[in-house]
Amino acid sequence: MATLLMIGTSKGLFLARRDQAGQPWDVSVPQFPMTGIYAVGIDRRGSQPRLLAAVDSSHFGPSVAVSDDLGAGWREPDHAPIAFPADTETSLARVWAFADGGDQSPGVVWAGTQPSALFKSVDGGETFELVRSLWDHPHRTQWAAGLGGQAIHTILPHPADPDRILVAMSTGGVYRTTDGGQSWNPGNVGIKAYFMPDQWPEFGQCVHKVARDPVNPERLYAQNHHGVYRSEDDGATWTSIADGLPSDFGFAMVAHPSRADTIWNFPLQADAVRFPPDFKCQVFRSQDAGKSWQPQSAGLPDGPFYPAVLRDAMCTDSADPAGVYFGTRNGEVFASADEGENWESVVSNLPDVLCVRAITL
Amino acid sequence: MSVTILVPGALRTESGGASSLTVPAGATLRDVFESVDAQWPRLGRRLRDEQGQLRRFVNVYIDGEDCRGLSGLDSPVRDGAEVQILPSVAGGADFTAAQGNEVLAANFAPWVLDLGLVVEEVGADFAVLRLPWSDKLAREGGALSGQALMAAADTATVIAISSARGGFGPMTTVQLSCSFQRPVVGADVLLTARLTKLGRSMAFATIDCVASGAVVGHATTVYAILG
Repeated sequence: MATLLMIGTSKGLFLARRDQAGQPWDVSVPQFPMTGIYAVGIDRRGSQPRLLAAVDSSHFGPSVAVSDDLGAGWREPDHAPIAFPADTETSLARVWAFADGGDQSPGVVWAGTQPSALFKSVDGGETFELVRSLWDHPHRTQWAAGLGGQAIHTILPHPADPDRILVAMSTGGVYRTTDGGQSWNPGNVGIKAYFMPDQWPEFGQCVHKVARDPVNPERLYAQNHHGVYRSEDDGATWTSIADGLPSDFGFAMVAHPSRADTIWNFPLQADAVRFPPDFKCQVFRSQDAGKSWQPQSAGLPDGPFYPAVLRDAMCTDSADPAGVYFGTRNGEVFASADEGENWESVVSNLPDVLCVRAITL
Repeated sequence: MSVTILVPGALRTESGGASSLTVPAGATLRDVFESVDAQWPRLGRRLRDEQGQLRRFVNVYIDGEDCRGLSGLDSPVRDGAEVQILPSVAGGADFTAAQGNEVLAANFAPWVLDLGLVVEEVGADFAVLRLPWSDKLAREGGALSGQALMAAADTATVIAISSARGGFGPMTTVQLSCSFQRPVVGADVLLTARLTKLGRSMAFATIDCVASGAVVGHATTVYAILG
């Protein structure tokens, strides 16, 4: 079973491929060299998987490229695929997230941007339009910026109900629609914002990443800016699942592609101490929806380990058992073909890894 | 009646490989870019964002003069002119509010630091600073002293210029004028310094000072950029 791993870095996109587990990875030269690849997407719905890449040139601005041949060739439209309308007096700074609209919405692809906005494509991600209802939300002027900027970084359409979509932003928190995007409401009850005078606000939380359970789609898992949470009601309310983790800080949160209650994250010590706890390279997995956590480090570096893992720099593939992948800010990517039990290095000495996404071919 | 555009190597994929393009002459640089947008839209969007603003790290020289030292996109372009596009070597130096606070901490006199200024936001041509209320800054009568507001406006200009240039460099105030429109009592002041012109050796800024939602003062500054 072949696997293609897209590795977005601060200086281009690398494609790692191997024909089956146990074989060495073949890693490409950088595509879009000297651009930041802050988001990649894989749309598996067509006859050929479509790859999307957010290509961010510090000189020449952001754009989106798509490939229908697994990255052999990429194309971009003449006109900016994601652009703010003139009346918003706003310019796109960066694309942070892609999500396909699910099987019930063929052709629909969502994009999350900086500044915080949601864009919708109905042509598979070649051209997008601003979702006005969220842009016009009265809370928008109070959404603030995190260290990485103010952005929508998470988009989770409900797999069974195309009218229900969850987005998350830093800062601002979780917002949900149940009417196909006509109206949006915050969904942050139970998520603490320790950095605000009111620590339990309606919105303003710094949610770092949200993952949806593949079997029980009402169940969600969130890694917050301090705080790890689970929701049982599609993001309306949240309860802590941080007990058992060495720290409740971190960025990544990924769910198993097909099995319930199984999630991974990569804790960091604290907001002000962004190193792995005890300087140890460890992934944490829960198989009971966050009630308990187990470290996984077999095959990961033994010695002191300082790099962080960013919010989109961890992913799973769709294999069974699931492959798990993560990339670090010092340019190393690790893979596990057995759900985190054993790890190996895919590639090292890349630029800092911003995002990874894998597809089982 | 035409203008020649020199395309840098990094952008020639968008110009069909051509290192120079000829477009019809226009009155201003904006007109020239609109011709580019019409003929080479992918080149056009690499140079300007969707609101028509020149991207921060794209430099454009009209007959050898940096357009930012002229009138930006409103700069006149003569018939036969050469418009050269060059990527800035500062490209990628995203200047953040956190860096603005580092510039503050590293470059100002101790008594200015005592004002407690905080850089709240920076952009390609602006900076927003907060002057927190302190009883120590009050003059007789209990209102904020004008000297404090002037120092804050002066400082905000330095942060705005640093943001526009991607980092701090030596500069000095040439002129500062401030009007005080309302007294400030017990409230923070938000100062938004916006560059109206940034040339190679001079910068001009206007600074709006707002407290409790009302404009309390307005300043203009002229800076000399050294070295």
